[in-house]
Amino acid sequence: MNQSDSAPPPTVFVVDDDEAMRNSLRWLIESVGLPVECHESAESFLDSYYPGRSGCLLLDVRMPGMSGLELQEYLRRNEINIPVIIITGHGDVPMSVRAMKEGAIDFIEKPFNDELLLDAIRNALAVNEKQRAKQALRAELAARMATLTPREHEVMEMVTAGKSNKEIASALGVSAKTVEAHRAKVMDKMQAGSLAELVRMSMLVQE
Amino acid sequence: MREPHRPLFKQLLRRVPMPVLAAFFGLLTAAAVWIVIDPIQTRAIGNIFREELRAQLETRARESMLRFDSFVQSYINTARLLANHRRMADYLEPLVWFSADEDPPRVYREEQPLWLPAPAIQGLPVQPDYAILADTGGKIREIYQLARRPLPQETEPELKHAITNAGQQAAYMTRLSGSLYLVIAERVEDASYYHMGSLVLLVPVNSRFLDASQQRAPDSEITVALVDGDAQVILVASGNDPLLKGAPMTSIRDRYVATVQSFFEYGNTPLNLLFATLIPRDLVDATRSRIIAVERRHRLTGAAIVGLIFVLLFILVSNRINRLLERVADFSSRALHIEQPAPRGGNRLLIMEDWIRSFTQAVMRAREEMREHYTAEIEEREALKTAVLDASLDPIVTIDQYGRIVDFNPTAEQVFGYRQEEASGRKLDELIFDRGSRQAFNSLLADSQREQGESGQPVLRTLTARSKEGRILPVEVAIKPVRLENQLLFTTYIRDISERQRQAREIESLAAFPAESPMPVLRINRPGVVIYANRASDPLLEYWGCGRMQTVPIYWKRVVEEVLNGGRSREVEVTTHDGIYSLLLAPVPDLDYVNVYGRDITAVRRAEEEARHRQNELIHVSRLSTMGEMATGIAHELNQPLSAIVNFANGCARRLRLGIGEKEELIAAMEQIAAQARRAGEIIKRLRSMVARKQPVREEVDLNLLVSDACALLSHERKRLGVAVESRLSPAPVVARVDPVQIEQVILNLLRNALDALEGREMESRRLIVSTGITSEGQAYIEVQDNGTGISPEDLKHLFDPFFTTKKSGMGMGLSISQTIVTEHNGRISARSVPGRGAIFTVELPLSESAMESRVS
Repeated sequence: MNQSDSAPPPTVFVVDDDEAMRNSLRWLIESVGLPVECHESAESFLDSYYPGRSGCLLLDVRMPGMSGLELQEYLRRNEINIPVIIITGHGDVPMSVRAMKEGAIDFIEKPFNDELLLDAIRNALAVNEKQRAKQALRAELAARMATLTPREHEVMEMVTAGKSNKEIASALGVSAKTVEAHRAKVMDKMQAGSLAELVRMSMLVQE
Repeated sequence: MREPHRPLFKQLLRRVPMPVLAAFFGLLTAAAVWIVIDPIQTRAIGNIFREELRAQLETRARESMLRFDSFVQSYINTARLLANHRRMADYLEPLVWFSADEDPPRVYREEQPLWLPAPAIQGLPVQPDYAILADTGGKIREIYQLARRPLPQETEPELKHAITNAGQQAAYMTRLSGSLYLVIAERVEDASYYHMGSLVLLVPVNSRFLDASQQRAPDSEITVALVDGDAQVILVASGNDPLLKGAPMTSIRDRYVATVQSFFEYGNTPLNLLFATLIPRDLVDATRSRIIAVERRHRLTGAAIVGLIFVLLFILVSNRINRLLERVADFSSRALHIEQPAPRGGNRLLIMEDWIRSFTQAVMRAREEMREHYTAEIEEREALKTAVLDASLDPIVTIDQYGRIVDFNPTAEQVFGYRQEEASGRKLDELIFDRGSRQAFNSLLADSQREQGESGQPVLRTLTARSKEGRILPVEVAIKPVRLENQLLFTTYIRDISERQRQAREIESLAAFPAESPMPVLRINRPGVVIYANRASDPLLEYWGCGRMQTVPIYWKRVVEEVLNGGRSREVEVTTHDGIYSLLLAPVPDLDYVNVYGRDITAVRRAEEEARHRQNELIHVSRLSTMGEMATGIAHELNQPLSAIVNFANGCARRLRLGIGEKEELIAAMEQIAAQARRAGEIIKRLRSMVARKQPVREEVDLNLLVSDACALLSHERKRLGVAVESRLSPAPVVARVDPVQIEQVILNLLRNALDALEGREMESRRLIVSTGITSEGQAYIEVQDNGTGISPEDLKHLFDPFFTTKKSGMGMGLSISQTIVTEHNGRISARSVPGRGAIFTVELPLSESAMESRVS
């Protein structure tokens, strides 16, 4: 949770094989005070990127070597969650659609409208922030769940599945009183204020 | 009034002999010269004399003053000599004078003082009156008195003043008791320059002194004088004119010419002394009149010489003329037997003139006689001629100036069937010429009459004649006028040319063969003259700028010569304004000319031109279509720099609006904008050059550059396919003489084909190699190699056929047009392939000449 304090600021990663394009994007994006990191190829980007760095990725679809789409696919396979904005030349619409299907959050056509581009970047950064917060929460909940005993774990699963105390008691072959006690323990360990909250937590962890 | 006078005057002239006349005129001339020149000259000489006199006087005055100066100087030198004399030192050394001594000075009269060597004084031209020895204070101690008078009283203070003021020495003129003296004071010093006293010489400046100064006799014509400058009175003068002394300057002006100069030396003279040089006026005037007399004598002599020369010239010329006339007279008397005049005495010129008049008349008479003589002779010859006429083979008819027959020779009788008796007296034109020729004959007659005598050649004319029987004969007629003494006759030569005409017609009809030819036929001889040219050759002749029987231009003259020397036919092409001709030059060596057979090949050439034009059109269209297919890629390519420009510009705008950003980085961004704009411009330029419709050109181009350009155009396609082109270009430029756009088109076609072939392959293993270089045969080559699908042997055969394609899109023109282009460049295009493994396309082109040369060297 204290990661956000020491973590590097969200960075805009630009991957484009055209040097002028990279330099001009850096020039434009830096004008709103965002740090920019440029890479001339997908490979170079992967070499320097480590998961967990916050930011967004501005990606040219057409590149020699690994193409934009291939990089996108690689990121997805390796569960690297970084919002991708596709840069596309005029007339590359079919390819852009494919990229969107692969999970890109936006696509921008060259030449750029600077407002649109910067809005898209801001939007992507916000998405990234949200994703990262959600991920942090999930990790926290998983940590809390790890403190549960196996019996408490079973009780929690059943409770969140909507079973009543009686049903749980008969299923586990214990008294309702015991179930009650486990349930209180679970609520306490998971720091859930209500049953509804516990259900939400369990859903979040299972996602 | 004058009429009766004139012969009289002439008579008079005739009597006077020539030399007398000449002498008279000479005298007249001399007198005229004298009268005109004398007064002018006299005045001029007077002026010159005055100028000369002034200059002379000044020179004389300067000279006499110089003499006076040096004379005075000699006294000063003598004084110095005496002052420094050993005796003086010996005398003064032991002597002591006391300033308080009031003793009168010691005076020597008869005896010689010890301190003065006698010869020194006696040797002077004018002896000083006094030699004085003074002490250092200027007080007189000893006096050697040479004059009779004692030393004037005022001398003492004067001397004191001079000695003390002058220091070393003093020399000046002063007046002492009415007489003028030259005072010379000299210091006496011992060996150590100790001042022991002064020696003073007083020399009287009198007329003797002045005479001696001028070193001349007292009776010389120049007088020098010293003048008191204030009173303008003569103080002393040389010579012995007693009137001069004391006379004021104004009173002597009428007797003397005076030049007055002031002294510069003897500066501290208390008197204002002037030095005057006087020349008696009588002397000057005498000199002037003498000079004028001499000059006048000279002029007189000059005038006499002019007169004499004039007389001599006159006599000489008249003698010449006389001799000439005599010779004419002599000749005439011998050749024409005209009596010679005997000019004894009197004016021969005039006598001769009269004689020549009579001589001319005699000659005229003689000529008349001669003409009569020759007319008789001509008549004699006429008879002889008639005999000749009779024997002539051609009809000869003589007519008079009215055209009537005078003579009709036997041949004429034979040819025309008329007898001499019938013919004579009738008009020739009416008798034998038909109506059409009559007028022509008469004009010929008129022509010959007009031209008679101008040229000996009679005028020839072809006419039609008719015999008595009515037979028509073509004849050639020449008329020769014969001028007899009293009448004009014409000899008319008539030649029957019917046989000759027939032959000529035959030849003419033969000659009509080439004349009727629709193709140019010409004949040109070795010097290049067009001997024959038919009508169809007119455009050719017009182009050459020469007519028939004129010389062709030098280039063609040379071609004709070459063909004649070579002895073999040769075909040449010539492009005139009207069309293109192929000329076959066939030599005829025996006659030394060349027959030229022309063929109009304009249509053929036009068709070829048209075909070439269409081909270029096709090449261009093909290029356009290629460009069209590549348009998307090029648009993408263009989009890159444009996008970058937009980004840079927006970045700049934002920074400027927010007031952030360093100046340097903003400038760098601007420069980036410019660079990207240039990049876009480059792309457009390349595109435009490919799309432009241009006439094919040939220029020296490095093929490496063309390959690079083509690759640049394809960069987007390459990226799309993920293919990196491997360039193996020759490190040295491969220069060929080509049309750069067309060859780039070929390269582009090959590269695009290769890229298309690679599409069927895995992206990772796609390879495209472009190489350039020079083959071992010295050909430039470009090779495009891919590892695509390859080409089947069956397809390989039709690869370069038009409309042959294995692709879904495309017309199948690319390779066909590439081949056309390469062939046009005298090159070769070929393809090799292993199906499934790829293909290699090779274009070979000839190297440019300069590249070949550098390769050889």
